[in-house]
This record gives sequence, C-alpha cells and structure tokens, in this order.
Amino acid sequence: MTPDLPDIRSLDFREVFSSKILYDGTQGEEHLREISRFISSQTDGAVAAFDLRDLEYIGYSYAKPTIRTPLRRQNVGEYGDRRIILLAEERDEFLEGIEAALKEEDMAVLVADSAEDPLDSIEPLGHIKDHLLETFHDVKEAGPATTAQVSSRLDQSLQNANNRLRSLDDLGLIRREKVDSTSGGKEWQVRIL
Amino acid sequence: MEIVLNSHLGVYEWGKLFRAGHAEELTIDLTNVEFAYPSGTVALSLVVNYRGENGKPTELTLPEEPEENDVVTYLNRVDLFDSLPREVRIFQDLSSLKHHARNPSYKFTEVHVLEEEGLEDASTVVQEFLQRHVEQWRRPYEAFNEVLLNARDHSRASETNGAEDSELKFGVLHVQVYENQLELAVGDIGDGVRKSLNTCPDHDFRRSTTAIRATLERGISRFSHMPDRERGGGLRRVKNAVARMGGKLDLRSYEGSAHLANGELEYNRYQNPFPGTLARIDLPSRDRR
Repeated sequence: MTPDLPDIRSLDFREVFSSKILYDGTQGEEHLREISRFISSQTDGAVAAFDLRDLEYIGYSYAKPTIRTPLRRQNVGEYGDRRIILLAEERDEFLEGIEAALKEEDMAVLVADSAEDPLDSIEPLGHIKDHLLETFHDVKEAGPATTAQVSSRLDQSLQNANNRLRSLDDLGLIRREKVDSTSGGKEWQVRIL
Repeated sequence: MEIVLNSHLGVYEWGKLFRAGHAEELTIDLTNVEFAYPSGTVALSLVVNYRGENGKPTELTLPEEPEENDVVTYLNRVDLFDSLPREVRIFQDLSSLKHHARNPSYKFTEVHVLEEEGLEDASTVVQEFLQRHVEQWRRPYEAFNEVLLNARDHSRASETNGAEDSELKFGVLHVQVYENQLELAVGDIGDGVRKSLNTCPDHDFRRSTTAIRATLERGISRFSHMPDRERGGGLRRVKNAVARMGGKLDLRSYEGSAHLANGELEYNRYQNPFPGTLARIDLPSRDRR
C-alpha cells in the first residue's frame, strides 16, 4: 500500500541562519527560538523538515541546541503530533556531530534526501538497536501496517512486535495510531511519517 | 624588567612569560631562541597582547640581522609580528622579512588572537585550508572548533593571572600544517578548567586533574545544573576525534594535565601551577592531491 504523506514543510538552515558553516553552540541557542517557532507554526500531524542540504558543516556543539533540544521536546509531546526529520544528501562524516549529540542521550532522528519523496531514502540516525532497526525497515517496506502484520513478517510474538513498535514510536521514528480493525474493535497501525 | 627566553620557546616558557607579564615595563629577549613551537608562540602572543590591552608596553629584543635568523623568519612567517598590538616595540628592522620565502615544509601557518571576531576569522581560515587539503576535513575541523569555542567561553582573564579588566576575554590560536601533520595550540589566561567547572553548584573539584578527567571522560560542563543549556561534551568529543584519527592531545590547566597518545590517556599533577589553559593537538593529515 502506498502511504499518504502528511504535509511536509522545510526550514532551510543555510538560508534562514545565513551561513553554510554552523558550529557555535551559543549561536545555536539563539537559533533555537526560530526553530521552535517554525515547528509550532506547522499544523498538527505535519512534518517539520530541517533542511541541511546547503550546509557544508554542522557541528556537535551547534547540533545540541538546534537538533537535540527540539527532538527532546517532540518526544515528550511539546509539539503535539508534529514530527521532525532532517534533510541531508551527504551522510556519514557530514552528520557525525549530530549523530554524536543524539547518541549521548539515546536519541535518534529520521534523515531523508528530500522532502518531495522522503520515504525512498529515509533512514534513522543516532542511537538505534539492531532489532529496532530491523523493525523500522520492515515498517518502511510494508508502509502502513498493523502490529499483527509486523509480528508475522518478523516472525516475532505479538508482544515482542508491540514492544519494538512502541520503542520506535518513543524514539520518534514511526507513528502509531489506533484504527478500526477489519475484524471489529481497534488495532494499532504504524507508518514512518 | 627583562626576561631572556631559553633556546626552546615552548610550553616551559609559559611560567617565565606570565610571571613577568605584570611588570610595568617588560623586555623579552629572544636572541637565544633556536626553536619556537606553537605552544610558545601562543604564550608570547598572549602575554604581549594582554599587556597591550592593559596599556603596558613590551619590547622584543631580536637577534642582529633578523633576516638571517631561522626563528625570527619563522615567527614572521606565522604572522606573529603582525598579530602583536601597537604597544610592542621592536627596534630591529623587519622590513626585509616581509618578502622572505616560505619554508616549503609548511603548507600553512597562522597565529590568531581569538577575540569575538577573531574566532570566526580563525575558524574560516582553518576550514578553507582543511577543505582544500585534508581528506575528511570535517573531523579535524570539529576538533579545531571545539577547542576554539572553549578558549572563547572560558578565557576571561583570571584574577590569578593579574587581570585588571575582568571583561577582557581572549585566547590565542597557532595552527600549522605540514605535508602530513597538522598542529595547533590554543591557549588562554582564564580561570582554568577546575575553577570554571566549580562555578556550577553541582561541582566541587579540589584538583585540576580530576576536573580535567571529568571534562574529557564524562563530558561534564559548568552548566550541568541547567539541563536546558545544551553545553559540555566538547572536549570529550575532541579527545575522541583525536584518538580516532591517531593524533595526540595535551591539555594543561593550572596544576593538572592530560596527555593522549596512541589512544591512551594519562593524567599528571604539577607542583608549579601552569598559568592558564593550553590545548595542543597534533593530527596526521592526508593530502587530497
């Protein structure tokens, strides 16, 4: 099933913060105000994409207030059902500072190549255990799927699958919502964005 | 007052320079200097700049025929003389040094005084150089930036070092790159790691060594009591990056020090406190071309 994508709006860091090199944590604390305003101005359920594609460098000290703090706020529900993703064409070395900042606090974020077709390239960055990564990839491949479907595809008990999906949701890497089951009653459905 | 620097202008000359730094009139004799290291040029630049900020003149005595002297030409190449304030007097004629050929073993050398605007300039110069010449330039660049930010954030001149203007803030950076090696020294005459961390009510470090260890291994900061301030962890990240690149790190702050080589960290305690904080990093670099 092809998933419907939510509204995705981008914040171009290069343009908004007028620099292709961002390393200063003090400056990052100032930029956080603009970033929070941007996230809060999105509709509930929308995706706030931090567009890092025109940057040459984003450092660890800068990433802590500008990436880690908004994600922490997202994970405790401060931004409602809005989700943050990063847009970056370069990975590995370019994202090392962000990755280190996230791993320090067992956090993670989704990174995609572009906002137009994010699901093709989307991958988690940060602290994610192998069994959760396996589950993430299954959800990504299956599109919207129920816990029972994920459980069956991964050959895991329903309990295990449910625990894994809840952990991914806590990390902000998938969305879970209760939907009507075909057999009556309610069931959890999961998707990436 | 006159001080005569030893043949090796390096970390061991810091004490002499800073003890003399408060004299009303100071002459620094460089005629015996045979080798100058980044940690030494940082100390020399810090002291004369600090004195200049406080309106105290300094005279530098250089060898006769400075254009024939390797150390003087070296100090000229790293732009030390250009970075000195107006209050410094040099009686020898340095005009012939201006067009001195660069030593081909150095690909790049800079000395920067890290006032607010100097920080960004230094970072830009280093970034542009690394981007052109070093594979995976972002790793060494991050190490640079983290130590630069530390120098800026912690370099308020300490009363321990005779600060007369508590708002005076600067550090000095010296960076140089050879064919296969990159060296930098960043120093300041601030309160040091222990005092800075102890401004946080959560900390009460009695020794600089334990404060340095906590910074490098646990990434703690002076903002530990304010979880919303995303601070700390920078020097731990520098240590990890340097270790991963197979480099060396030396961090000295008052009576404590840490030394990283071959991935191993060692800590030492000194009887005679070091007057400020000095970070020295050596990294192997691979040329892109």
